[in-house]
Amino acid sequence: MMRVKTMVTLGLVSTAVVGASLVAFWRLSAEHVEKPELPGAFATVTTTPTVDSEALRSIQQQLEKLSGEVAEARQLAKAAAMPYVRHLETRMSQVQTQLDALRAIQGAVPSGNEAGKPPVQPVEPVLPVSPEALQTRERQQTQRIIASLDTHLRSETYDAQWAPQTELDIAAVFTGATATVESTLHHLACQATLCRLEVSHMDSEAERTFMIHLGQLAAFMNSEAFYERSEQEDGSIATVVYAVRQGHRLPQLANALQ
Amino acid sequence: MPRHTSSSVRHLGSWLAVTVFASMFLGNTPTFAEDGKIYPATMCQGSLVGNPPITSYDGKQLVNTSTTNSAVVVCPVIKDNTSSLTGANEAYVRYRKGTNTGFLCDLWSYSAHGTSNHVQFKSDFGAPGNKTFSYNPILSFSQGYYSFVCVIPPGPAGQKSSVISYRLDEN
Repeated sequence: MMRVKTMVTLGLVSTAVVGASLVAFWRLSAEHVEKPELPGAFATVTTTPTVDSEALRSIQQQLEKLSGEVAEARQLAKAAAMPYVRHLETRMSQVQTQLDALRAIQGAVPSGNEAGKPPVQPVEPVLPVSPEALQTRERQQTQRIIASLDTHLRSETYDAQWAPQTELDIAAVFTGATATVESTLHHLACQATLCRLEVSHMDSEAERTFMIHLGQLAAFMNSEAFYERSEQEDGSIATVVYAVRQGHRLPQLANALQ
Repeated sequence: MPRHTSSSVRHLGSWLAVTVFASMFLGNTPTFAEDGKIYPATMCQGSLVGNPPITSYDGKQLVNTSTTNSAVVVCPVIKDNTSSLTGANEAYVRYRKGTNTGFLCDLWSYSAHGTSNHVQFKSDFGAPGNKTFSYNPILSFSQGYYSFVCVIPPGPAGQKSSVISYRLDEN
């Protein structure tokens, strides 16, 4: 009978905690940041997010609850329970991270419940970034990637078996029986694992068609490519393509984007 | 084993079991939830070739109904994390290959202003069957977007090829 009562009690406590958590996280998941209108192309406007104090308290309670559970588990657990103790500690760490993040946001937002506490430094408003600024930033990122790929290409040795055959295969895309007349090859250089191509396309459809053909070549099958593109006034598209040999990945691409 | 000791062990076991149950539901926030979304092939833009077009959705898959022409279809992906530069992690396309003719599905990551693109090529020239293309992590661009561009081969009746579904998880 005692055991049944104990189980019932623990069940009720757990249900209450679950219910409080669901309410807290429903509140947290509610949208507080205004979705900006996009006046033209790609303008991004953000507003300082707000934090529900009740949600913050709920998170704090949850953290305290988990802390208590960890403390009790440590006292009662035998060796077999230690993995579960570590699981609870991991969850605590995650919830603590959330709490810290929310406190950081709340610290930037004046609150009536914070009377008597020292004033918080106001957060500088996030100024809207113009489409031109975004485009400039994107172009700079692209240039960093291109510079990195060019450096890698220059550092490679010439593979006398792979490179010539690959260059012939690429050229055949433009001159073979199924050649596309809507794209033109201007420059081509392959080394050991990387090829650089300068190709102009009549339009974006031709651009996509060419890239599909490139990916079907044996040299690049199931591989990847990165390319810079520039839309010309006459509607044509100039591209500089870096395609990597099958079995390899484009070098330092992720680092160059950061 | 003495009765009180046995009772303590059972008490511990019950307490831990209930705590495990409760803790399963604590702290699960969208912040840690997996982003992955699985899209049906009906979301793909079918081929514009033919009248009627050579691709049709049969309720389960986007089929190339042509016996002679390949169908290029574009399957869009919604980019939730619009400012992310950390890329997409897991991605796959499920497809049906009706013949030995090549089936292609390239994953594209587009920059917002069209200054550059990153493309992963995938092709299958093997035997027919229900298959899956899996992709490496791919770059993302702030305000950019993704799509799969697939080339579905033609086939005779009973050997049609199709795109079934696709998925891309953002970091």
